[in-house]
Amino acid sequence: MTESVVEPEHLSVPGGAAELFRTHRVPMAKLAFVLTGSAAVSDEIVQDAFLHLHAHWSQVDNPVGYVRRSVVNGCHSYHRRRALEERHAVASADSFVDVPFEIGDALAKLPQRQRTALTLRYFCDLSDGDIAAALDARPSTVRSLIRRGLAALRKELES
Amino acid sequence: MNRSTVEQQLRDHFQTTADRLVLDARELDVGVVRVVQLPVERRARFRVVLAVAAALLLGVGIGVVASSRPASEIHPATLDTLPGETKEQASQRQYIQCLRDHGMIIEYITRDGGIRWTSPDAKTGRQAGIDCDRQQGQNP
Repeated sequence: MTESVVEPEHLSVPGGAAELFRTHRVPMAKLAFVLTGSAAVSDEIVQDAFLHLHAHWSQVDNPVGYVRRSVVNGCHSYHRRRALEERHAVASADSFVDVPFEIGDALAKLPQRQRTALTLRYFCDLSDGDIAAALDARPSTVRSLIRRGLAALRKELES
Repeated sequence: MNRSTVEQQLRDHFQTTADRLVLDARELDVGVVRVVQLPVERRARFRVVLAVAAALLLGVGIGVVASSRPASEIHPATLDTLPGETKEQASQRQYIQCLRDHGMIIEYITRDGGIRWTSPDAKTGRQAGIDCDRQQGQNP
């Protein structure tokens, strides 16, 4: 059986997938790490996000936004799987970082979407529009998520 | 506690957490370099076979089967274990080979010499009776 080696143009051209991977892998991995707390998981999620980007390159208008959304979705999926595992009392061997910060504990109690919205705003410094694109939500929803998230954090920290 | 204090604490917390992520230098150099895949026409031919097989299974009754392929060829019934290979490893190897043979796998060769693979067509795989639960992974 003969296999053909294909090198799609978008992998090597300036601004193509390979360059995007080089420039955005670490920032995306950090975002995933903040959202999951696991280095191994975040690396895997980011790698998969870039593979998805490669597969859909011709249909993607905003590659960075696409990867960011894939990363956010990957983190949400990870948390859903993890919640399911915890419900079934399966011991997890994942190496979560031990966050000694009070705000970290308060953050962990927030719903996933609020936490993600706060992360995208205060870690990535994204606009409402960009956060909305990453969360597949409306900007007004994003503002609401952030407002409620901050209020919940203040309440938790003051208690 | 006012809003700006919480916001500043959040920024500090996120930055401190992110700074803990250390990716080793080798991993940083990993990148998608090239894609190896089977010719498109071979995948298309396989889909025709699947479509005909599905139609026959549904009782539509097509008189002429344009092409056929023994089921054993699509999904090997026997597990050939290589010397020193566990059944699990043999199963994974044959599974990957199955996908590769039918154009349902794309291999990504990374700069550190590793190979990642993904199957873009898990649905077709399931129709062929191939266990496509593991759509992505690394070659053994």
